[in-house]
Amino acid sequence: MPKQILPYLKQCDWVMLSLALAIAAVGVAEIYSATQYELSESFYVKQIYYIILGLVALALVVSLDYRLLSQQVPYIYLVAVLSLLLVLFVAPAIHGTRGWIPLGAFKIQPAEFAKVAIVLTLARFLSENRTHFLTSSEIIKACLLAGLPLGLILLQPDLGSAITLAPPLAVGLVLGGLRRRWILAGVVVATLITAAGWYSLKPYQKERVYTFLEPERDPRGHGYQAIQSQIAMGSGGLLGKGVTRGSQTALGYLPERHTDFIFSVVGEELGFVGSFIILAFYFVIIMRSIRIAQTARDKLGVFLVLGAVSVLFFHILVNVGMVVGLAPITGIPLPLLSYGGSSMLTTFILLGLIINVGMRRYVY
Amino acid sequence: MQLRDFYKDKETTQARIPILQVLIVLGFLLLLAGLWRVQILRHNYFSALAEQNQIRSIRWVAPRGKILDRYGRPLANSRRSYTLSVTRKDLSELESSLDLLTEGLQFEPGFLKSQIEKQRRRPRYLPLVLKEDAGIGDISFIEAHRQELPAIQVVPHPIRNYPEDEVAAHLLGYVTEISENQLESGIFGDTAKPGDIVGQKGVERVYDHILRGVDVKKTVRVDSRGREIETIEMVPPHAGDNLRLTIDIDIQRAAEKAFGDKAGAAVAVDPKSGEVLCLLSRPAFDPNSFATRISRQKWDQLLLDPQKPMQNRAIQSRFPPGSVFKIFLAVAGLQEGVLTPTHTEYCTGGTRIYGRRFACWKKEGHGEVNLHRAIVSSCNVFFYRLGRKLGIDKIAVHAKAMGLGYKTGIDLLGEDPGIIPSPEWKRRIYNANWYPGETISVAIGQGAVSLTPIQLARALGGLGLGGVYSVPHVVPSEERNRAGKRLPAAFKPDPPLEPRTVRLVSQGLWGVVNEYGTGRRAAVKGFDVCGKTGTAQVISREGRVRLKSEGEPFQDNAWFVGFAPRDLPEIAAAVFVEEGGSGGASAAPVLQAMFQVYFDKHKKKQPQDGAGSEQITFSLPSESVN
Repeated sequence: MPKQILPYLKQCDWVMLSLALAIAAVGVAEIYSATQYELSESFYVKQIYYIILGLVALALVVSLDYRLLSQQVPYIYLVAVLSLLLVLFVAPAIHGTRGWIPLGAFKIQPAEFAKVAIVLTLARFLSENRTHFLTSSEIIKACLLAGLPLGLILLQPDLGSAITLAPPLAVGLVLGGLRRRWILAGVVVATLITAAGWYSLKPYQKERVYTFLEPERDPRGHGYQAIQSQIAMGSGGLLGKGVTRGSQTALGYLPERHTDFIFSVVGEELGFVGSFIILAFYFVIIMRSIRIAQTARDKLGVFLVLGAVSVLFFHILVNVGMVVGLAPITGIPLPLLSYGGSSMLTTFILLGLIINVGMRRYVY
Repeated sequence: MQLRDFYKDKETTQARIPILQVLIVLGFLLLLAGLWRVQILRHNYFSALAEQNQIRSIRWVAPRGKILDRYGRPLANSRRSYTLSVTRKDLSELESSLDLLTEGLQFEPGFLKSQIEKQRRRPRYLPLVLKEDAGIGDISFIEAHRQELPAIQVVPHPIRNYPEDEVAAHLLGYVTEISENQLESGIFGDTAKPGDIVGQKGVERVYDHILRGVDVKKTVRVDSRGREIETIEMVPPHAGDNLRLTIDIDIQRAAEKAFGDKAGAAVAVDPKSGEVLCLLSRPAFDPNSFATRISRQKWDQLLLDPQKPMQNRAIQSRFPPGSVFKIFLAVAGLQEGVLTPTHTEYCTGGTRIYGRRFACWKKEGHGEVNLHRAIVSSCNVFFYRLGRKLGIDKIAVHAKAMGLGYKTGIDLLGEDPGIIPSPEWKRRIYNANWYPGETISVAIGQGAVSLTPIQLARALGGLGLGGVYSVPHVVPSEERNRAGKRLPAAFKPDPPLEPRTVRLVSQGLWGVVNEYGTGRRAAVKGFDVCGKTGTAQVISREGRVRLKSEGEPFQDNAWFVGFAPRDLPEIAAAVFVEEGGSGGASAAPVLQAMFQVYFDKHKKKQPQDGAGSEQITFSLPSESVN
């Protein structure tokens, strides 16, 4: 048996895994720094547990051939949809939205796992297509598959999480053989939906968009987070103030500093150099993943990797964009860095899928 | 075969991967640009903001200095009070405890919400005031519920207090929060800030820079919840300096009491120094009502009251002096040599001058009158003829030489200069010629001549002293020097009053009070009070007849001016009573009340003081024996 496993382990992308762990380790340090004056909970210890849990999940995902995994897609999809339904009926509302299922000491966020389910489902669905281009019925089916959980998350309501399901669909459709005119049509439709969606946004969501465009219009209210985040980042400068030395962070000016705004803490304490290095790590992880997609052994592999990549990239783009003031404020966590078990687990599962495909590129 | 199919299948997919790569690279470049902008380009800007973020200024209002009377008794002080407030940041924390607060502080339901709403527009760094002048019950409630109400601050806030209420209200003025206009115009100096409590009117306004303290300014580093972490800078509070006035509260109180509820003014000065001993104006207001926010309605009421309670009649209002003016005519006549002590006129109850009949107040006439009798019995005819002899220009010159028709320079704002009319004046103001008949009216203080009570008090005192007119002031000169407002020197007209003039006129004024004159109610036993009544018609004779026929009660304005003692006077005063009838009946008793207090205090005691000092020398050895 060990002889059979060994070649696989050789093919495992250790570089990617190391980079991911390095980012997660910085995350632990910064979570420690961000919450050093919070006496109630030791977040960083919990985060370490989440990382270990994530690694276990990654090992499990990696050990199972992704083709076998894809056979379980109907069940995975069903569980994801059911848990999203469950959340709507049993979860307590926090700040007007419900997204968490309390499970003993833990709180589970079904929307996070829905991301994994969508990546798997779309990969299997699209890889079964044998033609050059997607037929319109296939396009509609793919949209419905992604649209159901997306709609359920919207009902929570959690616009940010719901949107994260769109990139795997878009990437899947484009790479799965969407005709150029359809791509063009898609862009138009997306624009129209955005415009129409504006009118269905709740006031607090509209306010978020307004304050993104002009944070100073309400510096104590909705613009507060955006401004404080940029103050933290900007005051960090080139080299940062050093871990645990960020005054914005320590004095508690930064909201959600250990979760959604963890990258501001990185920016304040590690400076431009630190945040640049983190970004570079993410970049390498993503580029290596694309390389895996390009050399994947089958279509299923390609779609799995690219679906996972699209989810990860979108999170990075929106979260870091929000922190530096390029994107509006949404509750989207930064993979590997943000505090939170569900997000950590999801990220490691997605990385596991990518590594899984990479390990089985060659037939032994 | 299998392999070929696979590649064929993947064709589109693989071909489109570079698009994704390009998008991802662009995305990362965008993020990098964002990082560069925030962390490198705008580093300094955000560093400054970060610094500001943590720094908060706390301000406690410093108590104003006390205003004291000449013996150190308080006319204005500060009362300890507490304001319950909450900083903006903690507002959200407060929302859950609104019901508790409403119940505990006994507010009307919904009052707190509206109170918070009202203050939304105030500058952000000013805390939200929940309750001003909180009682001991309110504070103990807050302290007992500290756990539930951590955000409520109990801030000491001294409130201005006037223990004598309305007494000397116009002299003292009042305080309010600085207005936006005052802040912009900078009249309270560069250091004035929004929210400052500043003096308005009176001594509070003129000497604001002495009375106003330096507020506590504490700069602290705070966390995001506003909890203080460390003090960065602390400007210790500095209470305003106390200010001693020249006012004698005993004289002031006596005057206020004697005044009753009539409208008018009373001023008493020490003619040698110019120190004002008493200054009152009626009707008055209660300056305490401004110390806490005065309601709009109350303020309008004060402003629109036809009685004008905010007007300081002692310095801001001018009135025709009536017979009081005869004093100055006598001075002019003697100085010019047109009048001698032995000169007499014959009064038949009226006289015809310039073809018009001028009546004396005594219809049956005074008979033969010399200067002394003319002053004592206030004979109009005597002064009509003297006025004609002098002519308006000479009357004006001598009146002005005694400081009439000019501001006295008292250290209060809004003083009126009064009017000493002359042909030149009439041309300038009305562009009309002077009628000779007008001179005759002016001779008995009617017509255009109008003066302020403070002017008359000063002129009388100066006359009694032999022609030296010191500048009246309410703050003693040593305190004024400290305030950088040096007292101008007393003014001596050139040519000076001749001693004979002073003696003769003073003798006449003494007679008014102590012989058979109209001012006997001003007499103080043992204190040679000299004075003169005045009665000024408010409306024309025709109007008066009409009113009388309609049965309307109508009375003239009454004056009494005087000084005492006759030789080297120590106190001079002017009393004006609106619609007081005759000066002897309504105004003289007020002057008498003031002079009586002064006399009891300074004159009657003198022999006792002498005895007292002897006693001390005797008591010293007996003490050492003990």
